[in-house]
Amino acid sequence: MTIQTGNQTRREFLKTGAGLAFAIPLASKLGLAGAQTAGNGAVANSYVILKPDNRITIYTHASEMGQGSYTGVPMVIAEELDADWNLVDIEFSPLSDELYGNPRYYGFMLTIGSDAISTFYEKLRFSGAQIRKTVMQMAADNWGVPIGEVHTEPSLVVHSPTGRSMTYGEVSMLGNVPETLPEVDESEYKQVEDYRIVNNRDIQRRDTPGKVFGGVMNGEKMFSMDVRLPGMLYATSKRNHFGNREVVRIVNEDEVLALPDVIGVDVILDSVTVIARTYEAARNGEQLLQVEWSNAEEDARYNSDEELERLKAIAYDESREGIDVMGHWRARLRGQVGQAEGLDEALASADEVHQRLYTTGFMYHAQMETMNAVVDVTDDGRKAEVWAGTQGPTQTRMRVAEVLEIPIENVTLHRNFMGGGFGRKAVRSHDNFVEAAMLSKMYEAPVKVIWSRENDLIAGHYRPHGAHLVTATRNDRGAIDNFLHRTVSDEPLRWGDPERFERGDSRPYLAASFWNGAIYPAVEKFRGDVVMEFTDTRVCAMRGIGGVATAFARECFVDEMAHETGIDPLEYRRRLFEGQPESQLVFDTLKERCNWDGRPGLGCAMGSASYALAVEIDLDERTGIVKPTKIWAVASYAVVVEPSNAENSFYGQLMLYVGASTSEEITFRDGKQEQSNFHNFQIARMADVPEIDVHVIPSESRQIGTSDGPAYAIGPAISNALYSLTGKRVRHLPVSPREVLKALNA
Amino acid sequence: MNVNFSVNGEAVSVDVEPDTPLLWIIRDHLGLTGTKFGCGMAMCGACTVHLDGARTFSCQIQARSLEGRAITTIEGLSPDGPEGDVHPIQQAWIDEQVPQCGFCQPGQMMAALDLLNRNPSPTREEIVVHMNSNLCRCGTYPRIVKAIQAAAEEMQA
Repeated sequence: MTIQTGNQTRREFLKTGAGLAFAIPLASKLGLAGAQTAGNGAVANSYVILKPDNRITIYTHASEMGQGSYTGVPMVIAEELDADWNLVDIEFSPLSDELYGNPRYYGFMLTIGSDAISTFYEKLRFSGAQIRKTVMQMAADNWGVPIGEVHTEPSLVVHSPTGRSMTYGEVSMLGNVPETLPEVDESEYKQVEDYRIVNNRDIQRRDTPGKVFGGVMNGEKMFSMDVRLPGMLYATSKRNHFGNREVVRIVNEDEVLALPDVIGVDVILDSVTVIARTYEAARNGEQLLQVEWSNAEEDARYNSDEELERLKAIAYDESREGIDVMGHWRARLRGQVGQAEGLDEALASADEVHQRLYTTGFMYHAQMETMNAVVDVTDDGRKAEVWAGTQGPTQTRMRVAEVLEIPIENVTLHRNFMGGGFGRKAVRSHDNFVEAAMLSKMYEAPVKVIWSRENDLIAGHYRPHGAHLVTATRNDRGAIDNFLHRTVSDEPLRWGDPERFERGDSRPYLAASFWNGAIYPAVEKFRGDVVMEFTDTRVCAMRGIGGVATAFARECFVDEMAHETGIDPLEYRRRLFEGQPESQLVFDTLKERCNWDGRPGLGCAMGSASYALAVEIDLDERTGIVKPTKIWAVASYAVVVEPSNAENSFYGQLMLYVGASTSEEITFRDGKQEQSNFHNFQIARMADVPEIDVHVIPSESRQIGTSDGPAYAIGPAISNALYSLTGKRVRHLPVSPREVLKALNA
Repeated sequence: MNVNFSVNGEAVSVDVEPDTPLLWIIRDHLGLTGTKFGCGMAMCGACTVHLDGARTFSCQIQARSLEGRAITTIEGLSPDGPEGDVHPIQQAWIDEQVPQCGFCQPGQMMAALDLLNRNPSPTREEIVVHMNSNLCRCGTYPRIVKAIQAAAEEMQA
């Protein structure tokens, strides 16, 4: 071997670690950023460390899977800190639930649901403003002037009357760090019009160059799949289509062991692993390997079409009571949306009730980087080092500690970037890490596990399929006034995060979602019921979560109601937002941008109270292929932290949902997926990109995340466009060729 | 078997099984991890490299056919890294802020360079036809098109 480029030694890995070992007590009464220094005289809180050389380290708590908050989180902090952005160095934060835990998800560090910035927004602003106030106070004390006489310019404290100044680095060396860092009042925050960093289109993502140069940043491998350790072994795994299955017999273990470089075949929980000196050998073993699983006879009778028919029957079965999932946050939404009280009576006593049934299929995340892990168990099994691209670093660490039966402190986790996550890398069982940890312990060597695309798909945790029964009445103006949305589905959290599911708080039901303004405010009485139907098909949350399925049913239904009443579908939706000018402006703007004129092939849908889109489609009647030719999306957002990144994200979401709404679906026949890789699971390619027009309206509303955005409205919009073109309706997502042909021939 | 070929202009020699895919030779035996694994069946393009000057799916090329061939990987575009002379393709990818997760992008850039080597000023349609081989789950396609157009201009200047 003559090339060493790109190699990274063990020593280099150890040197870089997971950031500073910094213990910062959380002292703020607001529960905001840590209000104390480490006692070594540094000017620092849990997000910011000022360095004597005038550079500033800012931590980002969030895991980075492509959404860009690696840069966005520090931007919000740097803005309030009044930092010179060129002097800011970004690092992943240390792992500490106390300092960086997500309050929405019972305090774990967990990057899900597009809230890396929105949930933490006040905390991030506070963290920056607190350090700014600290340096102003320190400089003022040093100069013997009142703090009111100093101001800041980028990374500079200035005595306003005299123009004397000190850099933040110089201030950090004054030695007069206050015992307790100051509290900051919201009135001390910057005004939006004074922002230099936030909402600045010229600021680029800091992870871009590393990604353009093949995934190396500051000498470290960004993706765990690229991490290499001396003496490392490689493993693949094979799992059943269903969870809760046991390995009955490995049919041809000897044959696999006889392959060159293969070292072992092992059963790790419900997977069979092949470990080898090279990945190619492990992969050959995986392809050769034959396994007999428990429950095989019954599983062979499983067909997803039949299963969906069963869920449809349950939707109509009144003896199956649903859980009123909105009950959990109805109090919070009081005044924003209609109430549930009296809904059943209103529907029972109405002269005319409108009812439609919709279904949605299994969807696979298809993140480009398949599940993988690098684990090195040392000290006779007492310590473990983990390289992990994970949305839940705390839970990954817990899981590794649990299976190795060691304290969590003995597990060091290096936070890698993810080659896509979309929810898949938050699944609590973290099987890929379990496999690598157990194998590293057994074989006393570092182990890299890489799932093949086939295993990643077959052992995937899909967005569950489901049936949606919508029952509603209309008032004398044709508007929907009573609305019951009944969802029958497995619950993603039951597999994705069983603890959260069992706790019953922290948004426990993800099969359907009815929050974030996704309900029309004009609807007087509303309820979203979920009937949970447990199955052995592995599921979990996927980008857009329950909103993808509920939006499909709701927006197709609203379209049907509009057509029945003879009201234009866009105008019909606009009226359902009566009294909410910000939302109505979204529809007015959309109408103008797409020249909404009722031409055939044009359809629209609402994604949230601040997002709507329209799509124009082409249809090949022979093949049933529907192709969006142009999409117009209008969104209303408060502060867009990273405008360039948000634009990229908006386009990207639309592309993901174009694929997920037309050509992608996981189906089972005779107990096996009919898809296995990208030849028969077809995600959107460049030729599928329609013309896209995204328009953002500045809003007064609260901060919300953009990368989990309601672009899933493209699914129902495509179905609605198909109706406007053909008069035929597809009530299934995806609007696949199979479904389109069924509808055209009906 | 022992096989001798060149990677990014340097002679290399590896001892591997004859059916070992070039992808894993590059990544594991030579330590050049910029080339990515996405599907293993020529359907995603994450593993795209140049073989004797033309793009190929490295997951489909076996060791037994490598003797004497010349491979270029993403690491070969700007040998001195970000601080040196940055290849116009990579510069365009940075300027247009193409990547989201970034995992597919080395393959995208190698495919794009192959296009510009043969067709220095492609139309949008020609870009789409050529690049349809490479998947991006984040959906960065619109920016990939812009970056290729920008790189084409820069490389002609």
